[in-house]
Amino acid sequence: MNRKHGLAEVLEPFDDSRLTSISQPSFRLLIENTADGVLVVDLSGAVLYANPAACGILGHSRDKLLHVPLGRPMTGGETAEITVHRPDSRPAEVEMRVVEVTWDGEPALLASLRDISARRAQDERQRQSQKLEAIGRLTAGIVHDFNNLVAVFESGLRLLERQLAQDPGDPKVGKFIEELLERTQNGRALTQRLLAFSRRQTLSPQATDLNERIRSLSSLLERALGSGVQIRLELHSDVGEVLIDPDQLDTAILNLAVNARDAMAGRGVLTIETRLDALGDLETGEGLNESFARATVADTGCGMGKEVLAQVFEPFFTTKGEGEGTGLGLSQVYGFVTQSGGQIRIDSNVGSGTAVHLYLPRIHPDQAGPT
Amino acid sequence: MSDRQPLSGTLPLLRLYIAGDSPGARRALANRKRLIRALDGAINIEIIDILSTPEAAEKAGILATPTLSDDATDPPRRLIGDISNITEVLSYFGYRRKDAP
Repeated sequence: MNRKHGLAEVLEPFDDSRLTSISQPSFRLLIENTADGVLVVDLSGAVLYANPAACGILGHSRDKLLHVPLGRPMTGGETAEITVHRPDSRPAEVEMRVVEVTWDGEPALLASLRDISARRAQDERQRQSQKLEAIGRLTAGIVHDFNNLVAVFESGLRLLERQLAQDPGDPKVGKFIEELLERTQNGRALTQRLLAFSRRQTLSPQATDLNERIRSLSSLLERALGSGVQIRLELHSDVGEVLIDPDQLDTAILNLAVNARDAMAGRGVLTIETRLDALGDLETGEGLNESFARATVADTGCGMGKEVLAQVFEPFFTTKGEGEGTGLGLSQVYGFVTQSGGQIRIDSNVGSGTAVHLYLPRIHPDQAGPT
Repeated sequence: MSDRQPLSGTLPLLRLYIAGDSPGARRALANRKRLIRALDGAINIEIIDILSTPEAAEKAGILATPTLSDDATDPPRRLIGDISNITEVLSYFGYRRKDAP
């Protein structure tokens, strides 16, 4: 049927009697006006028919298409993707479907072409914006950590300035300088973390003396938190070593301490406690208690209500004012603890302070090697 | 279509036109290797990246990629799109695969 009109005859005709009432010129009108490119190609790859959309997608006139050896269209599955190279315009990504038809009594192939360049470009833009978002998040986190570091340096240098004015010969001067120099390692460690993040490297957990690490941090905390905050250390000697990245621990403690200072509005007691402790109601199963050491950072600040508690680990969640916090501090702590194979718990009530418990994987004395 | 045999000393030549390093191009290159394996190495399939040599594609009248072409025939015998069906592809160009029934 329809051969004299040069229209395609599908091998297994679609059985719908209603179609018979549609005239052939109407069918031609449909094909000529559809947005998809329609090509009929013989088995040797010569173009027999091209609708205007196909001419547009391929970038050539119908006359030209009828004279070029386009090739036999093939799809592996339902569709194939081809790149169309048009004179004087950008290449187009085209989705191609192929069905077998007869054309003027001969077997032929009907290829429908759909330009998916716009969809591809949209996908690409979305991927790009997701990447930018991740980089932005990362930058904000690094800025947050660097601000904390700068605060430490600032107070350290002030102390140094005062000490130099009073008594330049005091051995404290050398001690301050030494401590500040040690903190430059934190800056270096931050950039390492930036690299690690961008390369998706794993952290470098190592056997770390939890008490020693906290002790070495505390003198800096004293300065960073200001004279209104009293720091109390309750370090139990039996906690031993934990398997963590020590620089990440420093950052986590620093983040928690800064949060505590803000919760106490600069006045109060910050307690850092370490001990071997039962995991309590954490769903950890039995026999795990001895595997963890707990480090708790507690303050006597304003505390948090349930609504705030439910959101504290979310990136960008902050109760601080514009320009004061990024909302990334606790998510760093959470990331560090969980990546170390530990657990985190927060106890807090409005008006009665906050305690953040970090359960860190412990190294038993018989496992510990040289650090 | 009779089986084509390589002339003594020279391997028959097909050309694979691709564009850059797109996923489609990478798939085509993987299938090129399968084609060569299927003919036990008795064919040469030249790769032409039309982004680096657009004039070659224009001269050959390549409208889209990937296109696998036997430019020795007149008009050139071509396949456009997906060439993962090795048996069908080889049969289209008049070859029979040597590695399997």
